[in-house]
Amino acid sequence: MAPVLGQFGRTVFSNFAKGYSHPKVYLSNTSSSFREMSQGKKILLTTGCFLTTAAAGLAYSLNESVKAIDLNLHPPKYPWPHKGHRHEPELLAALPFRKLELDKAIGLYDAASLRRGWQVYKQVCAACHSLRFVAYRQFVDLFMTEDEAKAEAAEATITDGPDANGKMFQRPGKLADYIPSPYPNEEAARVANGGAYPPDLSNITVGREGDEDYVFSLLRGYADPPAGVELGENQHFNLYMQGNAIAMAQALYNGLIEYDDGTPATASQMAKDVTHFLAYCATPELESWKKYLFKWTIISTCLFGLAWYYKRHLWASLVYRRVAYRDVNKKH
Amino acid sequence: MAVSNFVYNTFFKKSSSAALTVVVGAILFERGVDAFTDSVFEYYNRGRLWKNIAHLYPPKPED
Repeated sequence: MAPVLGQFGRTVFSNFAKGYSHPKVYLSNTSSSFREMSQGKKILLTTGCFLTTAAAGLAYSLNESVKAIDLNLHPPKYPWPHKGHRHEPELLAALPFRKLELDKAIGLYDAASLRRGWQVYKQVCAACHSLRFVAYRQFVDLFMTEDEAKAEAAEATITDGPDANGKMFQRPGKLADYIPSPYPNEEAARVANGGAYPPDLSNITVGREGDEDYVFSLLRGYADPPAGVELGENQHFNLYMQGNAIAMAQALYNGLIEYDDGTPATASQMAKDVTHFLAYCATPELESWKKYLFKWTIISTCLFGLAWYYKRHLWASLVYRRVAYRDVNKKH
Repeated sequence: MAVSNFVYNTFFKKSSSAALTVVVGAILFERGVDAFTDSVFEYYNRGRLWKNIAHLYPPKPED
């Protein structure tokens, strides 16, 4: 036994000494010693890395699939003109008017759809839902002329004041007025709607998970409750509502209103138009954001080119120098 | 070479002319970028903008 151990120890020690008696000079002072490892260790380490990554991926996907079992139907993605198509080639093929998929980057709102959406909001949604943060002036040259917007505002009754006697008074609206709410406060809204509060729609598309797709799906998501589902009083079954019970009754039916451009007012057409309009209400600055991003890209490219040229210019004398060494011992 | 010499002598040789070149160039560049951006957006979104469809909604006669 002893000779075996002795031989083993000598081998280990000589290997150890061999490894350390010739210190190597590394160009970079990194701690990575992967190059120095034995073949077996390399294979082991690589396999370990792969397995760890695969396990992390598996755990992530399992976690994601767990999320899918809660009773919440997620809306599909729709091709909004201001948001773009999302990996749906068959949908894209059905839309011949756009050859390039640039909607997400430079797509703006569709004025005709906004105009129809405003009609839907005014004639259907405005009975219960307020739109407190949107003013009539925003509509000018977006989807109606200034005269039309003034006429729309004048139809509304605005509470203004106080006047010289300290009383509030009513007057027809002006361009700068915000859209009046159907109820003076939340309590009045709750009483009128059986305890449920119709939310303000100014920011609804950014305030719900799923954005525009969710709002559109919700408006089209009414169905008969399946067997076994108990609904409370004043509750309706909706596929996309969290918990499937919604206080709002289905509001949009085919032919409910008449569009002034002659578009057939089907329920899905109205849902699409009003959702598009509400998306504008939530993010009216989207168009300028997109333009700023576009300009930023152009200007950054130019600045990058200038910086690159200037860097080359500064370092040229060092980069292109040639160093020649002369042997001082040699006689010339 | 002649062109770069001309540009250097005319626009950058004196500090005063260089400063003027920078200011005027910045203004022109910004206006150019703005005009280019607007034209790209208008071309891509043709048919969607209000100016493209305003003629479809004639003003209602006063009654």
